[in-house]
Amino acid sequence: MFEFGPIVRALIYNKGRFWLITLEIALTLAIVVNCATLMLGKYREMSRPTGMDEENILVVNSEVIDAALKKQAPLEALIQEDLRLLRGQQGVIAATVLQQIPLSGGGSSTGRRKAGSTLDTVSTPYFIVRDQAVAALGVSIVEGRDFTPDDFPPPEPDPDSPGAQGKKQEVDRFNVLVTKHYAEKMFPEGGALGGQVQNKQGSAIDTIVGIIDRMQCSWPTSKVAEDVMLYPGRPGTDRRVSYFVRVKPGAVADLYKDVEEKLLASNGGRLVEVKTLHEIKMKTYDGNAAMMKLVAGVIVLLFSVTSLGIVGLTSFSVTQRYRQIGTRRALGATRAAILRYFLVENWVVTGLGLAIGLGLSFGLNQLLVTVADAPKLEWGLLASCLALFWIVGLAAALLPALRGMKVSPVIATRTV
Amino acid sequence: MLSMKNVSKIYRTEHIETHALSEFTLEVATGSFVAVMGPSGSGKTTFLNLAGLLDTFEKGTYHLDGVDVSRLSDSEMSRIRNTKIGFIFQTFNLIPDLNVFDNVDVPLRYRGVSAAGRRTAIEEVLELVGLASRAKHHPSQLSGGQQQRVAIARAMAGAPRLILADEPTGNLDSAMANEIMDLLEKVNETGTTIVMVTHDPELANRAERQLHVLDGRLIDMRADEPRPLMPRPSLSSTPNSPGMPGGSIRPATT
Amino acid sequence: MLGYNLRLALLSLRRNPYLTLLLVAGIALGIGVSTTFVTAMYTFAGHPIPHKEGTLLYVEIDTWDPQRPFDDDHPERPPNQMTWMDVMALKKSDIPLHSAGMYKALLTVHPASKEMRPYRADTRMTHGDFFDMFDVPFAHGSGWGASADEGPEPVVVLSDETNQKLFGGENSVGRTVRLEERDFTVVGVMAPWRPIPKYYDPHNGATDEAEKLYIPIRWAEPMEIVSSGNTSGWKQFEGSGFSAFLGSESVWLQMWVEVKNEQDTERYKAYLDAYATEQKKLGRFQRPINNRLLSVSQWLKEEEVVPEEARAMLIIGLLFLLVCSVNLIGILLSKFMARAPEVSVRRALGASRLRVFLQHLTECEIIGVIGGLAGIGLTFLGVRLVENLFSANFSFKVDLKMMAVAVALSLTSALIAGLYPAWRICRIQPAAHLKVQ
Repeated sequence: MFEFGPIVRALIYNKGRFWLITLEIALTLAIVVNCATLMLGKYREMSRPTGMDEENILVVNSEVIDAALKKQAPLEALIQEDLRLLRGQQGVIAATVLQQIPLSGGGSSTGRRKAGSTLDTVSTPYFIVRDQAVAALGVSIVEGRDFTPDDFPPPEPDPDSPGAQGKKQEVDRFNVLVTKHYAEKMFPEGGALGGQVQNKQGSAIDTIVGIIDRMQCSWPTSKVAEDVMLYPGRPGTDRRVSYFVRVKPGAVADLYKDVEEKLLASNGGRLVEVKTLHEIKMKTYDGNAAMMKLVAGVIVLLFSVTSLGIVGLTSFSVTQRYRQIGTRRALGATRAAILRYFLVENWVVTGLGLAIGLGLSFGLNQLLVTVADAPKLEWGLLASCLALFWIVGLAAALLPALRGMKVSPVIATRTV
Repeated sequence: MLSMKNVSKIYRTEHIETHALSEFTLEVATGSFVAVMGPSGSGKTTFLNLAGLLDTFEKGTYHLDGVDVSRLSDSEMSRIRNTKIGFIFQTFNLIPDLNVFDNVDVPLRYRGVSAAGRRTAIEEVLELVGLASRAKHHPSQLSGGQQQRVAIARAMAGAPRLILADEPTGNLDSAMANEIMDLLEKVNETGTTIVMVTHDPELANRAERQLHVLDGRLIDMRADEPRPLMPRPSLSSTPNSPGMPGGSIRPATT
Repeated sequence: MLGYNLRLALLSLRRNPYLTLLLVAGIALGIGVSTTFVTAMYTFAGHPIPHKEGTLLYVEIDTWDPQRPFDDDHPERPPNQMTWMDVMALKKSDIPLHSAGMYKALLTVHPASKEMRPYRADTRMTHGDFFDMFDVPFAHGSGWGASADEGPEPVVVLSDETNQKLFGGENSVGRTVRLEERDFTVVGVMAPWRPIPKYYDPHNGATDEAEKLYIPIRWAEPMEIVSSGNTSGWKQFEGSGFSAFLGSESVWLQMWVEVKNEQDTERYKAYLDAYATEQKKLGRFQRPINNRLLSVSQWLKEEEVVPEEARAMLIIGLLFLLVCSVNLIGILLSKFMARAPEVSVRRALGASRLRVFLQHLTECEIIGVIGGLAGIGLTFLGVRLVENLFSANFSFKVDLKMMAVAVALSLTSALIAGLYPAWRICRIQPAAHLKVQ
């Protein structure tokens, strides 16, 4: 009943019937698989957990523009006042200041190596933070402890950067928090908690007192995305300060609306700008989102073109064989047998196209990896694309095959 | 073997009703060789379509091999065509993509014969028609006569009770035609009933019985009786008969 | 014969308008998608200022850490930005025709109108030569002179957009703009200007718009204006405050010079080496002397301004066109083969194979021309779409060259797609189709 052998032999004999479909399927598979790989890469990158409660964190930038107020810098008093105000708002869990904004694409990094070692220093993104930082970022400490008030330097003098302390002491010593990722990188043999890292000159030595499960730095797409060091300090005393305010779920919208007004009411000599950390993150990933949409568009267009093409070519090949269908019917083929014939034929042709397409996919991927730093193909994705194509191929062939099925056996006795 | 009683076939389009066969009654004995003649448009192709269960009809009854096959479903008809009837067509209707072996194989596949059984049957019939050496050839590599011999082999492969031949020599020269007729006679001698549609009186004379179809009706005469004058042109109200090339009038679906 | 072929082709195309539409739409889609990505690539990879290739030079000197190179992946390269000290020193040379140091900053603008809130604007801190060097077009006024650099004088050049925003687009030369807590006099208003890529500072956003405000770079000192671009450092500051930052080894400025000819390039190169040698005596420049002058194209190549995505999409776009062409082959094949009886008659009447072949190719090329033109339309649409998707941060160059590319692509793919179907139809056996008619 199953005419696999004759179908294959007929296809081999009359290659003109199917090579176009095979070629089209192979090319389309190669393009779609690689587009999907690009898309998946972009999606994975932006949907990695940041470790922070980004949806519920408001980032409030305050930039002093009043000349008189500017001259009063360092503006420690203003910051204390603002923090008191922010912490007193409805639904606020914690509020702190970071000298740079995580996930924003702009930040600071320094070089550190294991204290006492002669290793090369490792690029270390860091944030100088004020108290409540762990609670305000929503990161979780898996080992060790949070900062205590003793960890923070006194208000004077201005400790705006970790290097700035160098002028008063021989060696800067701070208790810091680092991410687990960073801890494992610096202390592959363990012992990160309580361990020390230093800058190249040895003029800064940091003791790790706590390890954060996960936190992304300012460059979430870089190699050091999950390497973060938190420094206790008093950032923001210049004229620009970024408050990080974490609120209970559901309370973001209200505070988002009011916070600018409230801060300006407290001190009007400045510009205030409010965003959620999530908005900042999405802005950084603008390109990813746009790229995903673009690639999705190309995939949809390609699918439509190819499906139409398969329907057209299959229609043509079925129409050309009306007489053959009639003859088969006269010789005893049921309608089901005719339908089956065309579907099996399509199955073989699609299968061949996919096999060739598989090779092309890897070829194209290799090219894209070389010239465009694209991600590598994944078997899971490839398998889903193959399955999808098989279904699309069969669906596109179904219509013409159904038409072929309806051909009457009477056609066999016609002389034309 | 074949018994039709009062069979009528009407093709309907929106405006025209065409009586292709009317009150057609015919008995064909098992093992006989019958020639059906008639001018084009007389209804002989319609008769062949109905006899071969390629088409359905509205009125009358048709018994094939003692079984009532008047009102069968499409798939039942397919099964009977496959098991009881072998077809030979004017234009051979070999499947161009398949070689000789695979062409003869087609009806056997639909019958579900085992691979070994098919091979034996195919080799046997190809031997019979003298084309065993051409099994791997494709139709385009064969002459017209050879192609028709493959078609005969295909019709016989399933050992049908009835073979329906539609102008089997229509596309062949006379030497070839005689060869084919010899072959058909040989087949008939094995006990297979043959009904052959032709418009060539000479060939028809080689059959043991000739039937004439005219305007959808049957005029029966024995081969030994004198033949009438050629039927005069039809004066009926349906000058355009069904089953014409190009299918200008298509069967109304019922 | 060409005329006759054309007539037959048009007749055939008109006979089945829907199929023709499908054919044209298919090829237009392929052209639209591929040309859009070709345009994107062309925009990024094109030369922004070709007539100054070789005379407009980016200056790099190796001031970096003696222990390790600036870029571990390319140890032969000096840092890609400069220190404040070196920029100020090198500006003094009169070998180049023009020279300018520069960096990007954010300044608060206080609009005169009380209805507008103060806002922060991207500002380029630079020397007056900037405008001549980069062929900046002016709507009103001009840049500032060398004397304004030194003072520095409180002068500002506005972008077209800023002039619209602050002065409603009128000639604002002579008016004042309050930046931070100082008043600046407008000396020039630019015509709309958007170099793509932003080649004078690709390091801080190659696809960013040009800055909104331009003021003399020396205002950095009294106003303590920090860079809003990238800063890299390797050595701790000596001293404290902003002056310590200016005196540090941190690199955060760009420096460009324009020379008259190759001789001057050599002279300037020698000058740089002499400068480095002199600095070595002062204990700076502890690495081997490694000073470079990069032409615009060399510089853009090193900065890798062509986004990887643009390259990937170019390849995908061209493959998309290939799929559309294969599709076209399929439709043309069925269209032509359906015409077999007619062609048989022509062949029987004496049309040669070549003639039948050419007649069908003519038909394909007509489809190619129409498809190409429609494809240009789709390209415009596609380019807008891509610009919008990437939040219109830049605009692509859709020019005559691109349109020519579109039509050429279209004609080529129609020709390639038509070859096989035309070959098939010209090889049919006339007899087979005549007999049954």
